[in-house]
Amino acid sequence: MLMRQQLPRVLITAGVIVAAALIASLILLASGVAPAAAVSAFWEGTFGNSANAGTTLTQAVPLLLVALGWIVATRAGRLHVGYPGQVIAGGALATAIGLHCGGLPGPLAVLATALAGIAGGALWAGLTAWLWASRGVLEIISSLLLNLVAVQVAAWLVRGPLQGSASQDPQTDNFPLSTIWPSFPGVPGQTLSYDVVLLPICAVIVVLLLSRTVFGFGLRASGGNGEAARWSGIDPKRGGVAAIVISGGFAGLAGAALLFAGTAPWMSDGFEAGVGFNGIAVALLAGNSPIFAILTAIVFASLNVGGTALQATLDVPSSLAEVLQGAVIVLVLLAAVLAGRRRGRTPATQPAAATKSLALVGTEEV
Amino acid sequence: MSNRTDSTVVRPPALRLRGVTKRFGAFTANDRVDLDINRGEIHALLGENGAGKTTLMRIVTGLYQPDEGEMRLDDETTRFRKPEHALRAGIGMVHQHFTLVPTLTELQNLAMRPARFPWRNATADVRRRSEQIAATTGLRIDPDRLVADASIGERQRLEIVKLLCRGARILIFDEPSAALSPGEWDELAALMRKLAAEGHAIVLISHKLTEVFAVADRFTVLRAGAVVGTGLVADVTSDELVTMMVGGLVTERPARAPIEPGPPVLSIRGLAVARDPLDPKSPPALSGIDLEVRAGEILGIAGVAGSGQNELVEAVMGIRPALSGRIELDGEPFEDRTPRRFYESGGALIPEDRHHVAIVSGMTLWENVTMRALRRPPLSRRGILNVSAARAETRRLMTEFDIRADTEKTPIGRLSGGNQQKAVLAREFSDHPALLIAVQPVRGLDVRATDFVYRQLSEHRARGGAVLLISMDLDEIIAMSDRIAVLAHGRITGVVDADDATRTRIGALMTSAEDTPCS
Repeated sequence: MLMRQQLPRVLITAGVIVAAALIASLILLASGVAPAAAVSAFWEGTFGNSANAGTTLTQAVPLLLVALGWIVATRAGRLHVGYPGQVIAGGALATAIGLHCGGLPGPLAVLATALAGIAGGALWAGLTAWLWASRGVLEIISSLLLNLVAVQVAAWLVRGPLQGSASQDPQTDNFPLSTIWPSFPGVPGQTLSYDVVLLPICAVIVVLLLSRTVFGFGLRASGGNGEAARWSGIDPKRGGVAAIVISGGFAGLAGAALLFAGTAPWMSDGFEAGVGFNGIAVALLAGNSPIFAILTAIVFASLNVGGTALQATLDVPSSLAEVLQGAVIVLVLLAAVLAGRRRGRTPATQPAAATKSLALVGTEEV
Repeated sequence: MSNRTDSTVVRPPALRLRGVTKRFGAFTANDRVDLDINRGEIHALLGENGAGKTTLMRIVTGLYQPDEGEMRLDDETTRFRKPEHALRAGIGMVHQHFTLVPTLTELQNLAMRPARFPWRNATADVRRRSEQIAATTGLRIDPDRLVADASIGERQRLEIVKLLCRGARILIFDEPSAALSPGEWDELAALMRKLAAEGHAIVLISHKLTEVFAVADRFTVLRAGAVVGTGLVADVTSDELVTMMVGGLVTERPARAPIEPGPPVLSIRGLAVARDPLDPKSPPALSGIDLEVRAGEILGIAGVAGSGQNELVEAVMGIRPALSGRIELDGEPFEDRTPRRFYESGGALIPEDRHHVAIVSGMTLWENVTMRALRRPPLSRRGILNVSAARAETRRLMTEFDIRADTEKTPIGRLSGGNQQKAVLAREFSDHPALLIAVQPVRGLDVRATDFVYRQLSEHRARGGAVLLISMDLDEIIAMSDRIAVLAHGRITGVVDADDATRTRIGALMTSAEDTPCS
């Protein structure tokens, strides 16, 4: 049973990886690099030694957190795309708090930045949730537009209230040492942050939340059929608001992780670096399964890290990694459409809006 | 076509199926079906839910291709690869759910069709055609009215005109009476006769044997995908048809012991509801409703569709705000109504629109059956679900209510309509409600499932429960109810004891606009 449910998703993922590899080799050949050399450079750069593996895993954390947010929101039927904005909002609030936490002992300071990140993302998502619940504004529209607002606010913050005193660059001062999230001391270069424990913990929390709690049941019922939920005494609005806010919290935590477990101990206006949208792709590639998303988050992180390595060793343009990520997203959507078409042939399915079927394709009831 | 002969020579049937077989994987939906549909006849196609009627009609209308067998149209072998081909060949279907665009006018709806010259304005052409049809069949449309403003019966008429406009000669009616009032059905029956008399071939799919006996000439019964009987309607009895459909006589509904009604379980006083829930000044959908349902009785609400039945249910449930009026449920005032408090106060509901409001088709059977019980002890404690207990409870209910599914983990959307309805029944009865509101509880169900639902309602009544039965099917209301309240234009026009109820008496109340006080 488990095998039969998992098989199509594994096949889709494998197909996407193979197709992406093909596209990558074509681009490599076109730019005059032997694919074999590129593969070894890619491997060396991502998992070849413990320092690089640490970087890859650490970069997977924000991606997974955003993906988990997407999974919670879509299960409740709320397709919002405000993750970039919520990542920025979470990171900005965490920065604002973190810069003043220098006097706190380490664990408390780290906890303060993490909670500030969650709060920032949740508050930003709360705007979307409030507009949806009270004004009927489509969450997908308001969240998309709020992303633009968040980008501008972040640009203003690092040039205004949060700008550092050390230089004229649009960035904040260095974070106090006590607020930096600790790393495994055994890994050279301290690249593996302890926050990788969030990978399994958060994924399991989301699985349990959705499948084993009354709250999660209400979310899934609201997402599956809001009217039926309402007629059964479940308030789909409350569930939708909660789901959007929770997903914002995850994205905000991702923002804090990007800054306080990242490579540079300050906030600049480009720190979000596409994590918000890539996290959606991570969830889609995983068929909205929280556990499977751990794996796809690592795949996406390795694409990013490996792309940088290719540039360093073989002088391949680093935009190759972006091309690959773009190709993966397009391929995932394509696979989703194909899978949806296959599903569409089986009887007793209700017509769903195109976006919805895309977003929920491969979704398994946990 | 060339050798058109006079009526004394036997003409080939308009549509002849021979050995048509359709399989979906291991499941055989149609098993070597032979079917002859003649011009000038109304042919009733009967069978339980899942007997293969729909699949067969989808083959005839080109949605499916048969795996084996042949289809002959006017004695010529035909094969439709898409629905358009069937339409061109003159086969049209009036679906249960209409295929009209409500925001366009009736004429624009008629003009919407695959055209040979897409750039040509078809309106003038269609207007002429519809006038011709009106002249020959008396089917008149209101060309410039929006479909949204037309009643259900008028929309159905428009669907028929649409098919005739496109040159359909074989018309298939899928449960045409499901949405109609008795008067509208009589009109439709007359129209079907007229179309048949003009040489059209008519296929009628229906669960209601009274309709079959009223209009059909011949019948064919499908069971488990195969033809089990065919012949002249005049030569069979209703019991024989039922036996053919279910393969054995369904047990008689138990004779109902008269029960001394107890105290009122639901009492409604002076309920008024606006048509637009957001605008209290909009015209009323319900006004001055006084109703009382007592323990141990079934109160039937008769009325044509759209008389305020939905608004009544929604107002009692707390889904729709009421302008005024008091409601008491199980002896307690029931104010600040919400669905949650409705269930907590001892209410239960079998809604009309199962897919829309009763089930979450993507979730499993057990999640749907325990949708409410799951949210309180013993199936959940402090917000944590006890999944194994919930599944065990569902397995118990599956046996008790004869819900057929592979396991309790099957998504409910994969079950047949009858089994879905049984799952809803299981959920609603497992709460031991004081009041059950049942809206069209057997709509679309086959004979066996219908019988099951009726028995459950009667048993609930015998246990001292109260039932508010809302239905557009007068026979159902008369057969099941102890008292019958008639709803017309948002008012109760009369309450009749079941013993005094006749179709004519209730039909008169259903159409009366005047305001008679209820007893």
